[in-house]
Amino acid sequence: MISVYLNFSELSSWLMLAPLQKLCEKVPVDLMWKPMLSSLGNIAGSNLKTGQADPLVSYKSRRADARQRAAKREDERMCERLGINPEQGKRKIAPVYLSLGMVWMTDQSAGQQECFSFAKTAFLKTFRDGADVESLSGLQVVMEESGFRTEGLAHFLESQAPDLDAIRQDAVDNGVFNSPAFVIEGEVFHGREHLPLIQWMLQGRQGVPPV
Amino acid sequence: MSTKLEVYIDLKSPYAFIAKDATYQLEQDFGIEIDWYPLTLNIGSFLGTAKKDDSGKVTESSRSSKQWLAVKYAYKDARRYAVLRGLTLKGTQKIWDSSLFAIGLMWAKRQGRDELKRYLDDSYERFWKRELDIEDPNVIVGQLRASGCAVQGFESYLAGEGREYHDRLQDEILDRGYYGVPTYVIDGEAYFGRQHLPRVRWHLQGQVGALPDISYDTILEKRLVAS
Repeated sequence: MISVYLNFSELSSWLMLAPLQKLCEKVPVDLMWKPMLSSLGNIAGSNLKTGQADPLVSYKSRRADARQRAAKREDERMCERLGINPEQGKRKIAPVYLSLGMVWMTDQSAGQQECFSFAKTAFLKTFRDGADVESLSGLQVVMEESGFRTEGLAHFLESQAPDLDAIRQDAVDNGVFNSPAFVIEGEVFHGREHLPLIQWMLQGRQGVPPV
Repeated sequence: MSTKLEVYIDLKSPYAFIAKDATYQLEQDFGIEIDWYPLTLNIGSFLGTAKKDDSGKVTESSRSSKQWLAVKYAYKDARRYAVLRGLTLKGTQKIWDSSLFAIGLMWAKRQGRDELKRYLDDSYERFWKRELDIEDPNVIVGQLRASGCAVQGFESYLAGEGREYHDRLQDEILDRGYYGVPTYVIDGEAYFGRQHLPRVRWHLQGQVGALPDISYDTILEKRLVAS
């Protein structure tokens, strides 16, 4: 079993889907999808006491600028990989409804391929199509286009809407603070770059590990 | 085909440590000589500061809980790969000032590729075994000497020209847009992190085909299997 933490507002989670699906084709494994509303992001912060002068203000400012420029370039690369233009990739959404949709699919015991289909459709509608994905009706369209049923969805969200903030706090309590992330055998992996190692672990740690 | 590759590293980064050998492999595979630069991180400025005693107990800390989460993960993440490679990676007990090592790097670089490689290989291995006090100038001199470097004049370089160049270089590096290690730069294109090695290889091969995705490079695995 792999717990998969993803964030529907981030390109890096979208990029994770294809290699994860390939992994699942090679190694039968159950996935537990856990949507995140936000990541910890840049945790740089001031540890100075109030009123205390910061001797590193110039360094911090330069570093923050460098980090921002690098992030912008990496966003462009991700867009290139995903076949969308950088402007499409800049879209900011609140992934509440899409996250609730993923929880609904879990509640409905959706199969692995259905979950992949939903996630892919959600990202395509968000970034490629610029569609409404921040409302119940928008979620229903994503569900329908991904081929999953929507009967009962509205009622589920009204009556049993899960607490997504609690899911996030649970993630942090388990050491997950960014997405995509994977938890396997209690071990946390942040980032899709770990998937080769995860596959090696799932295949019984045979042979030389991908390091 | 591009042949100029700049690599920015810091001794106190566990990620730079586990990236070093796969990075050196690029020299063999592409027939290039890497242009190494020190990027001396001020970790305390963005991850807070902390000290531990010999038992691992935290004796001083200015870190937030989120910063602790990130720091602990980083060490755990680097260590799992180090263990699989047979490398020893002990968590540091404080945030080191690695600028003396960085100035030593620049000195060794002027002496030659082999001297620099020995300096990097031995320093990384020993530092992560907690065998080096890299804030002691005599230790840096010892590392240089053991690497085959001439050390006459190093002490004055360390206090004068080398220090000035190092400090100026750090500002310039940030202004170029490089902020973490390891960073790889080819034709002005920067790739931050070992996970970008597939892209670095793609770039060195002339950017033929689609841009590859990030992944921890398996080139060392292939080498081991081949041998």
